[in-house]
This record gives sequence, structure tokens and C-alpha cells, in this order.
Amino acid sequence: MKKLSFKLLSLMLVSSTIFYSCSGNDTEETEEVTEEVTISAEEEVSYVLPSPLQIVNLFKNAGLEYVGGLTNAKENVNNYNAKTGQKINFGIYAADMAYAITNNQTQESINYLNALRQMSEKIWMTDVFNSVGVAERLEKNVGNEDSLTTIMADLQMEMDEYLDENGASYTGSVIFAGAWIESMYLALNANKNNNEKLTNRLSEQSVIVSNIIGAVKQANEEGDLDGLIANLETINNSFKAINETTGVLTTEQVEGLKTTVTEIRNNLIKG
Amino acid sequence: MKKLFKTLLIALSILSYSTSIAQETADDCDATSLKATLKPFLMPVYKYDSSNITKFTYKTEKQGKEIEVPLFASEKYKLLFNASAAPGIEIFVYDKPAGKAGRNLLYSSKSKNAKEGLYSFEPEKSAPVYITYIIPETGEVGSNGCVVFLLGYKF
Repeated sequence: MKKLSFKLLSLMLVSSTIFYSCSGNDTEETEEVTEEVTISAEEEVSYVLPSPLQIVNLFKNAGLEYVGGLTNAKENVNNYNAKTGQKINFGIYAADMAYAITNNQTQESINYLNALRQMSEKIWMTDVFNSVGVAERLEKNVGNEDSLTTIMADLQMEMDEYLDENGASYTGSVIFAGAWIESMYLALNANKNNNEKLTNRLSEQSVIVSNIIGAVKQANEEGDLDGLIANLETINNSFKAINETTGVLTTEQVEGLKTTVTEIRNNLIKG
Repeated sequence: MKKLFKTLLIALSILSYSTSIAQETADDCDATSLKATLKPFLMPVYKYDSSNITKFTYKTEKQGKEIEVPLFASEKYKLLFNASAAPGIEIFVYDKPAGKAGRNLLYSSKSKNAKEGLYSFEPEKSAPVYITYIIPETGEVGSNGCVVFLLGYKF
């Protein structure tokens, strides 16, 4: 568990910053704050991880195309019996559903929703799907990408609430780790023409790996996530070669990352 | 008789006060309703992306808690906070983690005329941010609080 120890006595000067408040009227074009803050504490750092939908959307906007047959087969849903594998593959299917939704593949979205529903029964999250009425809403909004995105965002919110209410918010980091690995796998394997924008987005993911590792380590109280952590650290090592000046992976480095991520992902979907 | 009545009244008042404190603590950390209050502030530009609930117990000394939030370049985000169940808390958003040199303050809840503990911040430049909560010291040790953070993303 990562601990942060800091003792800070600082004089903060803030200028030329625009602030907004919820009222919408509290806008200050320039604010100078001179403040003395003393903190003496050893506190835990927590991590907010993005939704799988955001990651897939970033790749989609950078040019990720839909390639059929890349996603995890729905039939594999019955192969996952171990709890950790179930959570990771729930995340993998969530990324596959996001991939289908952002590419307007409504039938595929519904198929993956069914796979997710089956997985949710295994990890005791069935109520999440019933409460949002996802299936009905998906069917009513066939072909409407914006509505499908809204439905998936609602589903994410319900899932986060469910995990929080049941004291299982750490499960969310394991699910996201699976979703992130699948999103990387899809982007790396569908990036046939070495699209520059997509390569930039893939390179940018280096900033998030350590957050995922940190969050999964916090969830690893029983040591059952050691394997997942090792996988994420292997991926993290692939990012360490990034040129610090450009911040972008070279073609060879992308190929190396693709090999690493593909191998890890293919092992994960075996269960 | 009068004395007994007076004693009973005092006892009832104490009981009622303790119950209301306990209820307040439990009710105030109802993360679902705290989150629900924030959702309308996402509309119509942003959609829900992720969230974080920070629960804490007030102590006799100040406490600091930090949350790392990855924001990706050229994307639009809205950071929403519901601190209505965390009296006295201060919220700061920085561009670097605590203890790192050159850490700049991007947002502070101080001096904001927040409505009922609700705060909102839309960064102009998207890069990872570090939220710091400063929880004030208190004489009422053992009372609990919580802050809900919600991230909106423009698809």
C-alpha cells in the first residue's frame, strides 16, 4: 500500500486562475491567495480510475476502427470460475461492450450486455443491471450512439454505487484493470496503419498504469491479485522506454507493447 | 416529583441529542444521495465517468488526504465535489502530487460561495490532477465525515 508522508508549510500564490462554482456565478478572473497551510500526516493516496468507456472513446476519437472478431467471445463467459478471473473478465467484457457501443454495433452491444449480465451473477452484481433497465433501453435506442453512450455511462454509475454501498469499491479497480488491458489490446491490434493520433493516445496511457497498479495493490489484501499486478508491471516496463522528450512510443516500441499486451490478454481470457 | 420530572427531561434531552448526532453521522455519509445531488451539475455537457468517496474521522489534528485523477490531453472534464457532509473541509486541486517540487495550485474551495458544500471545477488544460482534502482539527473527536468526488467527461 502506497503511503504518502508529507510535512508541508507553504506559501501559495495563485494568480490568473478562473474558478467556477456550482452556482455558476462565482467566477473570478484573477485571484491571489496567500495562505498558510500546515499538514503533518501520513495518509493513504487513493486513485480515481477512468471508465472503460472513456478509454475506448479516446481511442475511437483518435481513429480506432471497429474490427470484428477481436473481442473476447461471449461463449467464454462459462469458463470463468475463479473470483479474480471473473472480475477481470467482467472488465474485459465491459471494454468489449464499450467498443461495440462507440462503433454503433447495437446487436454486439446487446450480446456483450448479456455476457456482462451472466458475469454479474457470478460476482453478485445482478441488481445493477436490473435497476438501470439497460437491455430495454439499448433495444429502444438502436443506432443512436449518443443514447447508447448515455446508457453505458448510467450503467457505470450504478455499478460504482453498488460497489460503494457494498463496501467493495476495491473490486472496481480489478474490473478496470481487465477493461484497460482489453482496451489496449483492441487499440494495438486494430491499429493496422500505425495511425499517429492513435499511437499518441496509446503512449499517453503510460500515465495511468502506475495508478492502476497502485489501486490494484490496495485491493490485494489476500494476495490473490499478485498475478494481475505482475502483468500490469510487465506492461508498465514496456512504457519505460518512451522517449522523454517526445513522450511518444516509436513504431518498434508499439510492436513490443502489442506483443506484451496481447500475450497477457490472451492468458486472462482463458480464465 | 418535580425533581424527578426535571431529571427525566434532562435525560431525554441528552438521549435525543445523542440520537440526532448518531443519525446525522449516518445520514450525512449517505454517499448515494450525496452523489445524486451532484449529477444534475453534469448536464447537459458532461456524462458520468467515475467517482470517489472519501470517508474520515475527525481528529484533534489536521489531516490531509490525496486523490490522483488521470485526465487526458485535449479532453474536457468537470470535477464536482459534495462536501456537505464534511464541515470545515478544504479542497485543493494541484498539478503535481504532494511533496513534489513545483506543485501548483489549480483550484481551491476557499473563498467560494458554494451552495450547500457543492464545488465545481473545469480545468482549462487536461493533465493528471491531484486533489488534496484538508480535514480540520476538532474538539469532537470521533465524529465522521465524507466527501464525494464525481468526474464528468465530455464525450
